This record gives sequence, structure tokens and C-alpha cells, in this order.
Amino acid sequence: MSQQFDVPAARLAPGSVARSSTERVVGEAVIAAVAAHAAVRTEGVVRLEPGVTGLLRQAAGRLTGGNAAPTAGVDVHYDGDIPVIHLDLVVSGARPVAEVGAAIQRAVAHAVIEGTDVPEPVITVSVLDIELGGRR
Amino acid sequence: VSGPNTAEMTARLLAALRALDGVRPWCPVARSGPTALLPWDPGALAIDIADDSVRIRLVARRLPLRPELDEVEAVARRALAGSRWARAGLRLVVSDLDPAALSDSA
Repeated sequence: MSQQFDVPAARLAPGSVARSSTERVVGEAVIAAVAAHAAVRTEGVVRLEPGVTGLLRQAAGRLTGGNAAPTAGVDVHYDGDIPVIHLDLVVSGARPVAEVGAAIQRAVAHAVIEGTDVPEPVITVSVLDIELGGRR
Repeated sequence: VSGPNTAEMTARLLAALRALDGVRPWCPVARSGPTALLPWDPGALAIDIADDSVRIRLVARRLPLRPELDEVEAVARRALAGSRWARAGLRLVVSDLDPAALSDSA
């Protein structure tokens, strides 16, 4: 998906402040893509579940012919410098939902911090469905 | 003031960015199909040059971002050196992530 988010002003990645006249901004779509990638690889997750907004973003991406990593099912915004990440997803019944949710939060936080250098994010997870007999 | 004008500096920055493996200039449309027929380079939309600042929008092809942005900063500063923008503020905006960035880290 090639959805382009408007990037709010002035978010400095950790470690970049010392470079006096250079500012680095990580867009929401980048964080969403990293989060989505980490979430679907977490044991117990069957898939991310894009809502209407996510489907519209996917369609817009296809129309513009963009080539960007998928973000459907993940919503990201900034609260000041702190990324706030929300994931909608479906889990299997193989593990307790709370356990899966906590594992997702750990995996997403690790991937986002390591990959994008942003401050520790706030992560919320909504389990929209449990797919009994799901693939994991 | 002599030196490159805005269009020339945009072209210089785009060339520098396109020589990098870890990023590409952000572009709102694919650079293939009908848009390839445009009489101007849509990649120029990734570069905004003002009197005292330069903003570059990027798509990352690799993670983590820090070393890639270090490299972008270095090549951008080299491109700006000696021009009226040599001391301009530089804003590097990573707008999107190429799917390849994630396949490498999987």
C-alpha cells in the first residue's frame, strides 16, 4: 500500500538531536508497516484485520501503483514524540488471548524501536475474532 | 548568488539519493506505466527546497533506519555543500517502507 500520511511537524528520532540542523521524521506508515510485520509473526496471530479505513488505504495504494509495505489492520498516530500503535487482529484459539496480546505488544515494541529508532511506543491490541482451528 | 538554482539542486539531490541502496526518493505515483511519460521527473516531489531549509521525503528499503539516514544525511550534505543551501536545515522524512525492507529482516 502506498498510503501517504501527513507527517506532523517536528519529531526527532533519538540520537539525532545533536546533529544541529538535521531533523529526522519517521512517518506513521513506516511504523505501521513494521508493527504489522512483527504482529503477524507472533505465535497465535492468524491475521491482521483491516477496517474500512484500512481497506480504503489499500485501494488507494493500488490505484496509485505504489509499492509500500502493507499496513492494513494497524493504525498509528503520534502523541507528541511518542508513537501510539493500535492493531486489530484475529487470533487462533491455541493460546490464551491475553498471552497472545502481551506477546504481540512485546514483539511490536521491539521491532519498532530497533527498526525505526523512535521512542518506546504505546501499543494497544484489539482481538476482533478467535478463529478456532486457526493456522497457529 | 552563483551556484545551482532550485531545480538544479533538486536534480542533484535526486541523483545522490538514487545512488543509494537503502532508500529511494518518495514518489506519490509509480514511476512506470503512464507516469513514465510525464515530461518531468515525479521524483522531484520528494524534494522541497526553501530559502533556509531542505526537506527530503524517502522510502526506506532497509532497516534499521538509523544507518540509512546517516548515509542520506551525508550525501545530501555533500550535494548541498558550496551552494546557498550549504547551511540550510535538513529534514529527512521517511514516509513509507518498501516491502523489501521487511523481507530482509524477516
